[in-house]
Amino acid sequence: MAAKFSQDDGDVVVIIGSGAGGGTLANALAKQGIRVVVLEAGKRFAMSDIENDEWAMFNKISWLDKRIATGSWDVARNHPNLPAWIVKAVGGSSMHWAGVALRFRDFEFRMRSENGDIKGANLLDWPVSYAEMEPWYVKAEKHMGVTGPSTGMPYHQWHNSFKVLASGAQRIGYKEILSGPMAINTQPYDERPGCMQAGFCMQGCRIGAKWSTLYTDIPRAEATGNCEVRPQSMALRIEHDARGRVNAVVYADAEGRQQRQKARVVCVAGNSIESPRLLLNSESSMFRDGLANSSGQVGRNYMCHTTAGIYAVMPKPVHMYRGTTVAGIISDESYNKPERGFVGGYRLEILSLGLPFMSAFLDPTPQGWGRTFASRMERYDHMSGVWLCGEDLPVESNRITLHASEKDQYGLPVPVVHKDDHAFDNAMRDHGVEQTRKCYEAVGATEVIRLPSYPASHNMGTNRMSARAADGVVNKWGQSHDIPNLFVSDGSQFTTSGGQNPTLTIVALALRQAEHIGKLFSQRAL
Amino acid sequence: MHDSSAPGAGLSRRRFMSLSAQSLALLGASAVASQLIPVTLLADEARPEALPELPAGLLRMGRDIFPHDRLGDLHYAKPLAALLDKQGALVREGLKALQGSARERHGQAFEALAENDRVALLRAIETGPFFREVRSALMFGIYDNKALFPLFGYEGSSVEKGGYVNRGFNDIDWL
Repeated sequence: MAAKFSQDDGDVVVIIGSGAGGGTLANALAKQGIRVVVLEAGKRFAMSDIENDEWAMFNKISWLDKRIATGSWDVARNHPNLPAWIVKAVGGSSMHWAGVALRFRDFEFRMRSENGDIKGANLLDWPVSYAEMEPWYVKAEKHMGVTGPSTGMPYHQWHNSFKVLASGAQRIGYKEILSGPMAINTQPYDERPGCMQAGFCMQGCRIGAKWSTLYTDIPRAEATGNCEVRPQSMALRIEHDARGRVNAVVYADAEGRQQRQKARVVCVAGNSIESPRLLLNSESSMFRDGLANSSGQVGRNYMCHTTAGIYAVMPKPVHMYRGTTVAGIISDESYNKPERGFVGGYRLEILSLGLPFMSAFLDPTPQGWGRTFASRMERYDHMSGVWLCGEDLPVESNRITLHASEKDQYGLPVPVVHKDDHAFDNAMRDHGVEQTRKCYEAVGATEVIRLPSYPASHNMGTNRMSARAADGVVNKWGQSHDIPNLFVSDGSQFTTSGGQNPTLTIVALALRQAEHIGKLFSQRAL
Repeated sequence: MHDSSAPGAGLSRRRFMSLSAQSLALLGASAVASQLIPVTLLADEARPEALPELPAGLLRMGRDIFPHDRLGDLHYAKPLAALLDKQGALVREGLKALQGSARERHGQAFEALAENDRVALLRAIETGPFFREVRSALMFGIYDNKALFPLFGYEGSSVEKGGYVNRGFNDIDWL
């Protein structure tokens, strides 16, 4: 039975956001008997609202409030008002994610130590190691239902598109070829069914085979009686007391009225654009540069993975849309081998698009029309494609700022997302595209088409973890260096991006943070 | 489908358009039905008399942007007519300028030019708002049109059919 808390109840933990970070944290706190209010900006959808329709779901669940992309990255040119492809709904981007549940590799937690100082990058080691994270990864994998050793669930059967890619990969000598780990059930697990290979993972899984907080952590948190979820509640600013401890969150409700929820602890989990934006918008006479920002790092080091889309036209039909959208991963390049001309690694992940999205992303530049475009679309059913997911170096000037004059529907300054690719990012992207081309050509591709980056679904780093307060925003528990009862609980705490899809690490960090907050509560340290 | 989509004597073209759009939307709601639409029927439906009236050159421009020779004019004309309803001034003025360039450079109307001349004129305006609106309307009108999915080898919504787990997700046989 969902709880209902008074806005004057200053004993609750207020979590802003209900996605992989916030939703997981809410459940893990509520299960410890800690009382939680979740403020979610978006609506709450039912399973029956989920459709196998790319644009219908895009329009229904995407975060479409205005954002401005600047900088030399191709997203600023092709999607100037949609830098990020994330979700505004209960469940957050765990509705949209494709289920790839990869751990960071050991070296990815200490990129600075491995590679030294890299010119133009603001590289830093995480204050937490792989050894420390490993048990939390196992817990997260069991929690989410990740195929592979932690659950014993078999990996997905290879679908057509992955069979094509994998055959090519084998022919050019790649060895690490797997259709997982995926947080998509291959058999019934945790009261959710096995995957039916419907091919619409990123529109929200209609049957719940893919883990999302929408139908796992959120209702379970409510069932404890310790959690209240308030949809359509957009956090506007976090307030603090005279000692500099946060004590309330002001938010706009569904009718646009301002509400104020008192809080004992505030956990920010609004994804890597909204989380720093909220901290910056919460500036006060005591914290003139925004909350938790004595380091000046709030909003900085924005990372979104080094990516490209690559689609090959094969000699015969593939029907790539049949089957789990991203269940196919090639990992031979996922190591730190600076001799390739860049640091960190990347994975090649199979990724299918439906016909509507293919038309939008095949060539979103002004040149994307005419005979060449149309003839490629006519070979849609012959295509197989890859998405590159690689380490994106932290650069201090890649950052979220507040627009000087333009306001959104809540009266808040519109966020500006600035990014210039580091030279290593470009080198990695070229390398990954070339390796993908070799895979597909080894199985007879007649054409290999390089797409510009999609709007970023992996957004990281804008409230980063650091051992020293001067280098980042939060400590190894996601706790603000400046304000002990303020936490960051999403991917914005990532110190570096890794070459891994971020959700599993977000969930592992949230489970770990929940245990830590529980300890601090029992010690009366919060 | 064939009979019900034919324009009756008392129906204006606009009215037909609206009815036709509804029938397609209904079909679209049922992916089973959309897969059963025979290609010939789609072609037949695009008889010239069913076309909405469009300013000269607009249909030609639309066909040049996404040239699929297999698609009937109606599938271009419908989204273009809808765009005209929404952004009439932008489209008419943009088209007027395009026709002006065609006459200035070639002494003929845009639609009378050879394809490479038309494409060159369109390339020159591809970053402008008129071209971008037309392109966008057709992108949705053609590639997000459930009735046309089968022509591109796409099957659309699958969950109501049990996904593809028993329907060919791994049936590739030519590797």
